[in-house]
Amino acid sequence: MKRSTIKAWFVVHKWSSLVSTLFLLMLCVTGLPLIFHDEIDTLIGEDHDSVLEGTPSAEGGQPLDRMVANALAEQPGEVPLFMAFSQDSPLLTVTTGPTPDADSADMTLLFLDRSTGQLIGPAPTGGLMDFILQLHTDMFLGLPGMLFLGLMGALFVAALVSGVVLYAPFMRRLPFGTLRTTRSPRVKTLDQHNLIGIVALGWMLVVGLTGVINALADPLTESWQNGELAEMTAQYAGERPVDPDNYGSLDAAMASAQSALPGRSPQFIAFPGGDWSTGHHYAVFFQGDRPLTRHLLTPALIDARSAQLTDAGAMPALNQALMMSKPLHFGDYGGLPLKLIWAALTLATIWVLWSGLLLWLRRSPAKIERRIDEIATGAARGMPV
Amino acid sequence: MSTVRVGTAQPRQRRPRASVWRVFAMPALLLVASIAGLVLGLTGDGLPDALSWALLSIPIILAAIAFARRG
Repeated sequence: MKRSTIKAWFVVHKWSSLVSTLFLLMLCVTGLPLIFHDEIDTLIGEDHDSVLEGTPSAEGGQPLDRMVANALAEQPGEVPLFMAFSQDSPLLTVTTGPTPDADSADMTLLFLDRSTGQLIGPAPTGGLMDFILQLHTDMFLGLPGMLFLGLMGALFVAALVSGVVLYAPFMRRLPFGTLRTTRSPRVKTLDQHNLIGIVALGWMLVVGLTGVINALADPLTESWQNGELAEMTAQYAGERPVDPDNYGSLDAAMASAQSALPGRSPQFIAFPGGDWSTGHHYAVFFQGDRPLTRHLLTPALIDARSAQLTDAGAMPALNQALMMSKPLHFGDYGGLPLKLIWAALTLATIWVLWSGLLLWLRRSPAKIERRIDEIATGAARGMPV
Repeated sequence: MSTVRVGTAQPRQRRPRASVWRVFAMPALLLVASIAGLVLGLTGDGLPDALSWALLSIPIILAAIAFARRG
């Protein structure tokens, strides 16, 4: 590799890292407790999924219309927005709001038990985990915050790629896994930075890229709603949205949806008027029927008045990528051991970020040429051949 | 690459330069193991999960070995 090429990659590595490091450190530190949010919820007694026993709410129980009525009795004057099912327990959630297109800040999430139809209560809000999640997702800045963190994720990926490019010339004279400890503190830190960076590379790339895709969730959902969904429901274009008083039977709608997509388990229903449906449809989102496709949701659109199927079909590739990105970013799909691995690799990432920052803070001015030399000729002691 | 000065260190015998392929052999293996582990975990519970844990542990174990042997 030419010296000028190395210098260019060095500059990319330095600036993509410097700009994003503090935000990435925040994402790692807030991500660490989020990996274990299920376990933490259980500890503080908020994990109803593991406590309730009976038929999973996705499979059966009390009629859905009754569940909606019981939820609305708790929130008089409001309208239903979402209903979500559990694959493991009778837990069923209903989200309500003042209007069909209510802002998420005005929504109320209610926990219900589908085996009895009883309301368990509203989901607790404003806790520490909520705060951490909000900080991790958008730093309390809404969509701009989300997109900004997505950009930081993209810089992280750029830093990873440029780091790998620099790894090649630097390591040509050092065996894999070398950690020199007898030389300067800078060399010691540099070797740790390189080793941990290259070892955790695969995980960091996947979590970085899926984080970027997750940051685009809102625009991707909106583009599905304006594109694919609008096409599927073209015959309703121009009609007035259905009034919540005229919503038809949800159980009848679910029956139509299940005959359109048989053998699949429902994950949630989006009511008319929100970001996940049209003004005229119950959108019933089903999971795939195999483990690998379990995270891929397919909507069936049911006329909210007549309970007749309008259309059903897979979402566009980008939206599918978004759905697959969620588990790969959260690490919640392989039991506790996977979560522990996730935590270990998050700590490794923190060390890569921190050691990188130290290397920059402890740099001596005007010595960039020497650092380029060190990379270009391969790190080792002595004179070049 | 022409000769380049590196500080004022003593002239010593250097390790010969390894090819790029050699330098990246181990990192490439780790990359494949990590990504295979991440994807396998998605394909089901039980055996796929166990394989996923094993594959994703390889990078962590190798780093631990390097730290244990440093010097």
